Amino acid sequence: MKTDRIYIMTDLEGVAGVENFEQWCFTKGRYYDRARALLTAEINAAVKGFFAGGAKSIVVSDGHGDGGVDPETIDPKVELLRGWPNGWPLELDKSFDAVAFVGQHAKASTVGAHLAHTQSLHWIDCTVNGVSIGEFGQVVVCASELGIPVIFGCGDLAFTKEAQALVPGIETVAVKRGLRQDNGIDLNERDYTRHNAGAIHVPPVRARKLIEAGAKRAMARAKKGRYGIVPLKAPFERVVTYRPNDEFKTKRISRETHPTSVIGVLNMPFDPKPLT
Amino acid sequence: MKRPAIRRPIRKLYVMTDLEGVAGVLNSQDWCLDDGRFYERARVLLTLEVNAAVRGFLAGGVLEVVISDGHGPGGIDPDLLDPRSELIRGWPNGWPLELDKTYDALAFVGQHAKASSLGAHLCHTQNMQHIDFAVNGVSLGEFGQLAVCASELGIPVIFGCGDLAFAKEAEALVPGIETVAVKRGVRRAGPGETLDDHAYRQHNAGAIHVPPERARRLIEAGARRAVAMAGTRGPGLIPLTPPFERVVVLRRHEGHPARTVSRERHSTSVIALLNMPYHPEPEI
Repeated sequence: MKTDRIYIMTDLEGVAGVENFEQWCFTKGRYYDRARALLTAEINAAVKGFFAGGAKSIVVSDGHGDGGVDPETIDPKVELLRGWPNGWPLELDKSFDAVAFVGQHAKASTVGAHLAHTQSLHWIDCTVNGVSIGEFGQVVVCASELGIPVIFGCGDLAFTKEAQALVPGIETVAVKRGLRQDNGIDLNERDYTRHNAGAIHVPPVRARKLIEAGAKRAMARAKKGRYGIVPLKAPFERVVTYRPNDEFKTKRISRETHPTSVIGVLNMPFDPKPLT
Repeated sequence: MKRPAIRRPIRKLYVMTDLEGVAGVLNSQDWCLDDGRFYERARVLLTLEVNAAVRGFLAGGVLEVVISDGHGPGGIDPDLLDPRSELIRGWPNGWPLELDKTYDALAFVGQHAKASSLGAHLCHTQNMQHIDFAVNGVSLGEFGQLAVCASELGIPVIFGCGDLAFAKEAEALVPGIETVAVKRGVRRAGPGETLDDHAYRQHNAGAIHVPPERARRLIEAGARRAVAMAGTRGPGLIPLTPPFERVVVLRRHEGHPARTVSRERHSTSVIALLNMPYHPEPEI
């Protein structure tokens, strides 16, 4: 398949050397700027691999809420997308030939993951037509609706397993492995923030070499095969369950449906009700 | 003809690390607490000592080195860490801190002596509140606690670097262990048992240091020797005899005007004992 123009979704929690939320991923954290530098260096490694594999144009999408990409150190050959005023599919369109992920974490409540969450630490799970999807999966279903294959993802080991299960054939690189062996679905938001903070990391310098090689492999594989699009069947129902937090004392659930479009259902506002 | 000792090759090594035993780390407030003005320098100094040890271990033939960040607020700078290693940060499963039987040996870098040691630098056990921590009557610091876990798993302890009092503590507990001392605490009149936790933090802050660059050369050579000599001078294991009793003596600290003692027992496992919560009660 064609891989000239690539959209790279990025996030901070799946980066090697990013150790926890409080110090590394929140803007007030003492290592937040270090984390941005680590993510940007991982993106640059992936970009190097994609260009070496024949990519002609790359757009990097900054997917971390507070911002995760340093515009001054990003590879000057790419373009940087920051801010998504139009909602899903986050400026992905049919001009792109392939989608890739860098720094991606696993979905909320994943066993053995590091810093797993979906959207915010408030969510227990998000499903579409009964299939649990995280931040990776949400972009994947949008891309599939547009007919764009997903060819590469790097992040923690649990994320790479999630990616391979949802998108058979995807090339993945694991740069760390979470140590927690319970899903934490009954924790409140505050306790869940600390739940998945233990991991064994590949040091960043080596992680970047693995990512560059993986990105190059993904390009070679994509040229030969046809894969990376998940089958979708309308109508679409999205179900999100929420943890208790300071404002809401019980678990809650939100259900929305759309007759024809999964992008449409992802753009619908939430209306959470107490879960009984 | 004397046969060489039978020992398994060390392929995979677990390295526990801490900040207080590093050369150039001068005190607790400025260097080891995360609001200290030299805390980031201390992390760099530890990471460079770890890298020196990693070079020595790999040169000695070890294939896989996993570094465990043992300092509460964090002591390793991941971006400076030798890329041939791996880094564990966060121990969600308690003791034995992700050590398991896939490891062939255990080593320590930046380790300090146990609480109340004489002539030690920045010695403590877990925190400044501990006066002593003993299992079956044997006083154990942070080194000893992980060493007994490793012994229960059958994993020998082969190397430790830190201050001189720590090196002596390690040699007494694990005969034959290779050690490197990178600083020496200035001896105080007493172990500080009557101090509260705040005063104890300042108690052992004097030391004579080997400058970091030379310390790293000593550590690299020591690590290489440790792999070469492993098993030839002793088993590297601490003999353990169940049942196990842990006795922890805690200093007076805020809200607790007197010393307290916590006693727990486990019939079969020292690892399980270490995972039991404390139940401190006033000293009789």
